[in-house]
Amino acid sequence: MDRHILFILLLTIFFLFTVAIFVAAGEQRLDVYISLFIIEYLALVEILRPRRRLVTALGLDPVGLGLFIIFCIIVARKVVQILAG
Amino acid sequence: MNRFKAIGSGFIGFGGIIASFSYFVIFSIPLTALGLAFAILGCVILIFPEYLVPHQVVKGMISGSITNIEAMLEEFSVNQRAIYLPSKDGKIYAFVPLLGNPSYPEIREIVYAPKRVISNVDGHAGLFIYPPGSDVVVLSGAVAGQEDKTEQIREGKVSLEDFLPQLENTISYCLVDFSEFASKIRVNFDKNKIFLGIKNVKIDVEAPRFTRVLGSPPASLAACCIAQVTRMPVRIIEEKKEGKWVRVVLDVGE
Repeated sequence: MDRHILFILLLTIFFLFTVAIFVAAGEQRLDVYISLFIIEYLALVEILRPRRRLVTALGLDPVGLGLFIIFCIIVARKVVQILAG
Repeated sequence: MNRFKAIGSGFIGFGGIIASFSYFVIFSIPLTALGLAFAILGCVILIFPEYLVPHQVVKGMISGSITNIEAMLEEFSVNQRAIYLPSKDGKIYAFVPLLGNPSYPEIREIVYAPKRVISNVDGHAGLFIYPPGSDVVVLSGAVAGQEDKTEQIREGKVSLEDFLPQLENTISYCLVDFSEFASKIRVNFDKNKIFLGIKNVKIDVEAPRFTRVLGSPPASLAACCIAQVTRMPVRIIEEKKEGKWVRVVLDVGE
């Protein structure tokens, strides 16, 4: 099977399973879902390395970069929440 | 609009609508997450390249091209290392001195010589060859919009060190991500020499004279990248296989 089709299939399966498992567990925090999506995307990209358009100067793809920034924002918000008590 | 763009846009639109509706109207977090998942999938599909050519086809075409050049080099019994040079139209070409004229002519003479298959450059007969990787660097877009610093290089205002960050990114992108010739590359510099390590080379073509003169396909592509980025002549001095790594030493400049 072509690597790119496999990547999309696996990513779809991972996302659906993530939502299903968290729904079953009664999870109501959106940032938890998003964090898992981001981790799954970044992990699959590193494992399968599909060919995709990159922001050449940085060597990153725009989706990965955007998701990483969102992940940093989520983590920063959590840290601020914890520090603020 | 190609099919990937259409599907990707559709997923993004659908995901966005589901996420917005779920979050602001029905206040359902799981459905919002599902909508966001669709949107992320849509973005991923959008960044895929337009054409996914089967790699066996590409390998076959590269092999055929290399065999052609191998036959020509064999015909002329060439043993000297090629010099990679960039031309004004963006293509990289290689000058190979013919046997009997082992010394290299002046680079300036090569640049201004007519680009025929066999050409006499300042009393040195040689072949002008467009290596298989000649167009790859331009096609990859890795050097798009790059300022031409040829005059500055000639005047000595710009040196190889100025290109270091861009070189490593360009070679890595061309060899690993764009052409998928290797899984990893490592670049080191020392004065006007570049020490390149290429890991897990995925293309193996049986062409000993081509390899001796122009380097192996990944090394040749790397030389094209360097010539394109630096606009300086490049020569592959040494190439050695060490386990999973191929070590290449390139000389840059006149």
